[in-house]
Formats: sequence, C-alpha cells, structure tokens
Amino acid sequence: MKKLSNKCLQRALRRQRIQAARSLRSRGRLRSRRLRKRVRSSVAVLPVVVSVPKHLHYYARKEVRQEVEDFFETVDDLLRRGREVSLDFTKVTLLFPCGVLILMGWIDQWARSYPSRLTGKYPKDDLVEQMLQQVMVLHQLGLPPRKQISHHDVKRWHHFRGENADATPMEPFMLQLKELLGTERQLGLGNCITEAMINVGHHAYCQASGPWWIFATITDDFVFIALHDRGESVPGTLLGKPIVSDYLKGRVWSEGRADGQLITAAVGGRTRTGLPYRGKGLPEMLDFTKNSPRGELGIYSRNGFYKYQNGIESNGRLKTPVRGTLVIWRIQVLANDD
Amino acid sequence: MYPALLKEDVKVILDGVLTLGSSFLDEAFGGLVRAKGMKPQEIRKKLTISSEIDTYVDRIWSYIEDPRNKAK
Repeated sequence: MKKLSNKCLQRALRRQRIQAARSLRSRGRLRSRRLRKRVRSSVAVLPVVVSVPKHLHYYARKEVRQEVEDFFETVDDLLRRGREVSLDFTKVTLLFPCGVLILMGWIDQWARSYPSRLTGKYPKDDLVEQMLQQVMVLHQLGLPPRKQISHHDVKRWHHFRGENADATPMEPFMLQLKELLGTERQLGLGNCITEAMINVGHHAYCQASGPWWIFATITDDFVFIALHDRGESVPGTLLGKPIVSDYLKGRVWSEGRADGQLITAAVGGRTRTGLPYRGKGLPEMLDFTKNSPRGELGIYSRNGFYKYQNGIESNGRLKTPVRGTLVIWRIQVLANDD
Repeated sequence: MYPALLKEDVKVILDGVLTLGSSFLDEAFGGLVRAKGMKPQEIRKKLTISSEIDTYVDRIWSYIEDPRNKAK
C-alpha cells in the first residue's frame, strides 16, 4: 500500500468533497426543475380568479369607468394568453345597465371565442344575482339558476338581444310606453330605437350581422334606454367612406384622436352613405332628447364619446376604447296627452 | 306597393303600428320617386295614407316631395 503524505491526503479529501457538493447541486437543480414544472402544470389548470368591480358602472366618472375598463381588459388578456378565467361576482353590490350591457357584450364574445374557458362565482348580493341570472350572464358562465326572479328592481327592466331591425320582441315595452306617453311620443321614441337597430344592421357589422343588446325601463319620472353593439363603431363606420376633410386630418382621424368629433358629426346628420334617407337614428334621438325636459343622451364609440346633458353638448376622448357603440338615453316622462 | 300603384289606387293604413323607422318611411315612400321614377303629383292622385297621428302623414308626404329626390 502506498503511503500518502498528509498534503496528498488533504488534497484527495478536498476533491471528494467538491465532487459530492457538485453531485448534490446537480440533483437539487434537477429536483427544483421537476418541481417548477409540476407547479407550472398545476397552475395552468387552475382558472385565474378575477374580481368583478364592486360597482359595474360605465356611464360614469372617468375613474369609475377606468376600473371597469381595466377589468374587461385584464380578463380579455388572460383569455387571449390561453388561461382559464373565473369571474368572481362576490363583491358586486351595484349593477348599472351600461355596465351590464358591456359585460353582456364581452361575455357573449368570450363564450364564442373561448368556449369552456370562462367560469364564474355567484354574487353574494341577492339582487345582483337575480339580475345576472335574468340576463343569462350566469348561464353563459355555466352557473345554473338558483333564484326566483322576484325583486321589483329586476322585474322592471326589459332586456332584448337581436341581430336585425325586427322590433317585435320589444312589443311589451312599446305597449307600456304607449299607455304612459301616448301614441305620438311612443311612436317617436320607438322610431329612434328602430333606427338605432337599423344602423346596427346596416353599418355596425360590416362583414356579417352581429348582435345588439338593449336595456330599457320606465320609472315614475323617466324612460331609460341603453343600447350596445360590438360592431365597427360610429367613427369607424364614417371613416369607411371618408370625405375630403378626413383626408386632410388623416392622422388625427386614423389614430382615433377625434372620435368624439366624428360622433358629434354623426349626431348632426353626417352619414357614411351620404344618402338622405340614411343615418337618421342619432339626429332623431338628439332631437327627441332636446324636446324632453331633463333629457340626456350619451354615446360612447371606439375612442370617443358625445354627451348631451343639461342642455349642453360635449365630446371627448376615451383612454381605453369601447368595443362598438354604447348609447345611453334618458327621456323625462310627461303625462299622456292622448 | 309600387306594382299595386301602377294598377290601382292604394290606401296605406298606419294605425296600430308600434314603431315606424324614419329611414323605412323615407326609403319606402321617397323611394317611389328616387328609385322608381314616379312623379309626386302622380303619387298624390293614387295614394292615400291614413294614420291617427297626422304628423306621420305629413312626414311621409315630405319624403315623397323632398327636392333631393330629383337631384339623385
């Protein structure tokens, strides 16, 4: 047997320790790699829970609207990245028709584009659950109905969904209006709604027909109507056939910086076709609103908005664009003069 | 309506309807002049419009007699 010097022995022992440490490190790396993989795969099957804002309100102050917009963008982004999403309604306490309409539009699109990747959690609030059940939002999230629709604040709302200008489903609402407002004002109001539906059918969805949604109610003081479609938008439709000034303002127009002005032009009677018998919906709506005390009209489309409120017209730019168009319309109820 | 107008007098009754889109009225009645080339006077002789709301009758006639119809 060879006799080792102390120096040699220490060197051999050090080499052994280094080798042991190396092997430990590589086993650890392997183990952590396996662990990471396992964690990743278990996360992928778990849906990401996204809380729905407490107040689902769109026709509101900028900050409130921004919260709602951020929520939709977050969910859309997650779904586009292939994740499953669970919409958590537990914190929702207040629903506004504008917010619900936009939610219905998004859910409709998500359900078609990402079938079975969207689920949800029931709301805690009874009224909120009844409303979301009534408008089939819970059904689209795979949540079976649990409530009897009994609340007055749910039952008083009419909601309609369609894909053409057939106003037949709105008959009960129109009859209620006729009784309250008289034939002439009911017809005037009905015309505006029909025109808006015709606009969606003819212009909003250029490639094919697409859905529209309406929420409507009558209170002691007001008739309230909200319409939404996810089509080409008012500015998009107008710029589909630009006029000379559009070319001059090309960059501003194309970047959506002047969408508020384009909506104002549409309300003033500018149409894509330039035909005298087209594009009457928005101007008639504005006329009707101006003739109604405390009437209000709000139009949100693509990157812009237009408002008629307290007799003042205004327009502006949205930070986050709205898909399609949202029209909020409020008319004061006057006694039946028939 | 146009084929009927070519053969006989026509009466259109609007009572009972719940919505009447303006673009529909304009296209249907103004279109008789714009698309079919009928003259407003000729339509006046043959067409009667009945509605419990007079403003609608007036509006339809304004669509028929709209000077922009001829410009097209």
